[in-house]
Amino acid sequence: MADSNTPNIGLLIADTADVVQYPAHIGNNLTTIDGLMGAVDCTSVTRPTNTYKGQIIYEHDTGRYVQNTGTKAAPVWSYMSHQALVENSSALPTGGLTAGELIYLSDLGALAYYSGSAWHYCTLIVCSSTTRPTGAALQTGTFIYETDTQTLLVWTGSGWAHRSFNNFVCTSSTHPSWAFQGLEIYETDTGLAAVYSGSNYLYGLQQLAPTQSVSAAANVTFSGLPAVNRLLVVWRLRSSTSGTPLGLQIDGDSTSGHYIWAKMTARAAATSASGNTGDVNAQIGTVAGSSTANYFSSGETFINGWNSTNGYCNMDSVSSCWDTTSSYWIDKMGSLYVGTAAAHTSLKIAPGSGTLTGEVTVYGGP
Amino acid sequence: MTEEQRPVHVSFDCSTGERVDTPLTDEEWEEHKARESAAEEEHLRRTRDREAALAVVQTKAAQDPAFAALATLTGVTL
Repeated sequence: MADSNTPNIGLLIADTADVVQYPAHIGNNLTTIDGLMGAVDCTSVTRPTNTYKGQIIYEHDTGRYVQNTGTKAAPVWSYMSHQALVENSSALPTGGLTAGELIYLSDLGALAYYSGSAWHYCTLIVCSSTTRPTGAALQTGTFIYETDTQTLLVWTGSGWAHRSFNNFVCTSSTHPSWAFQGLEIYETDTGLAAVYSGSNYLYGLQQLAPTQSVSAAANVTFSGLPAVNRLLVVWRLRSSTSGTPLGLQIDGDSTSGHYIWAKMTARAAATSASGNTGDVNAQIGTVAGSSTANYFSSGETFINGWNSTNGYCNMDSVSSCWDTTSSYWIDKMGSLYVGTAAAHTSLKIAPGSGTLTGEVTVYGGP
Repeated sequence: MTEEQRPVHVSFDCSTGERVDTPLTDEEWEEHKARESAAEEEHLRRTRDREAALAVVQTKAAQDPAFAALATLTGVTL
């Protein structure tokens, strides 16, 4: 009988009827075994060719452990150390855990790590609104993206919430080129917000300042107004003087001749018309006195072309004013501002005499 | 008017969100009171004149149907 070899690493086995030779049957075999202790150190290009199924090697150029998952004759080298354990979110590992351990949750397509006390999802989980993750790895701050709602949600600890409060910030001349339907923007130069319809940005009239409540005010000024195309001034006021006209000035301009206005008035039992071809302010309404408790006047003025810098703006106003049940002024007014060519930034309203009590709001729009 | 009734200039800065109420100076306040008083007198005078004129129109309209029709057409409520 001849000697034979072991199948994996080819150790020499003496025939049972033969004489055991120390160097060939013992010494060489021990040397071979000693050389294979631990993982075989090599590089990704010097992997052993004399290998066997299940052999583990360490590639010091890639820093990874590799296992022969093929056969001795046809080795297949599979990296081991970059693969997380494959688990399921409904049956997370509980024993022998160490902080930093990673697992791959095949049911969610997500990774989770063990912090030392709990599992935490550590990748964005892609799901739908009906397959949101549950399980013990759901920790405060876990993010998901729902493909059906196209929404990012975060787990607050007690429920899912949308936590994206900011509109996209730009200017009126730097709208994003990648706009998508429903995108909301905020323009820093106009102070306006808009929503993208899929083809256009749609704006609304919106407050440019909180409603200002005033009491015994000689006048009310709004400064720092943005360069929007259209302003709307809405007021509800009463005065210490009965039936006093309410005037509006732009940029503090009280130059005689810079305001042209005309109005039609229903004054109690009669109607009339009047105007001024060169006033120091634009009339925008009539304000009730305080002779009747709780009687206020109200009105609106649209200023069109506010963002023009040629010095011209148009104003359209309506107002209604009751001093008493039988003493009233219903006004419809048109005004033209022919002032200095410059960007407009402030407006002031003031009564012809007396003071103002009530509230004023300024809106802006495109 | 008492000191507590001294009017204020109200100014709201939309760029900073800051509001400043500034009381009228003594000079402004005196001008303000004079203007307010004159306006009130003017309002009372105009109201009296209007009512007197309206009374004349109403009297004439009661006697003359054609005049009444004309007054109504021009916006006078009789």
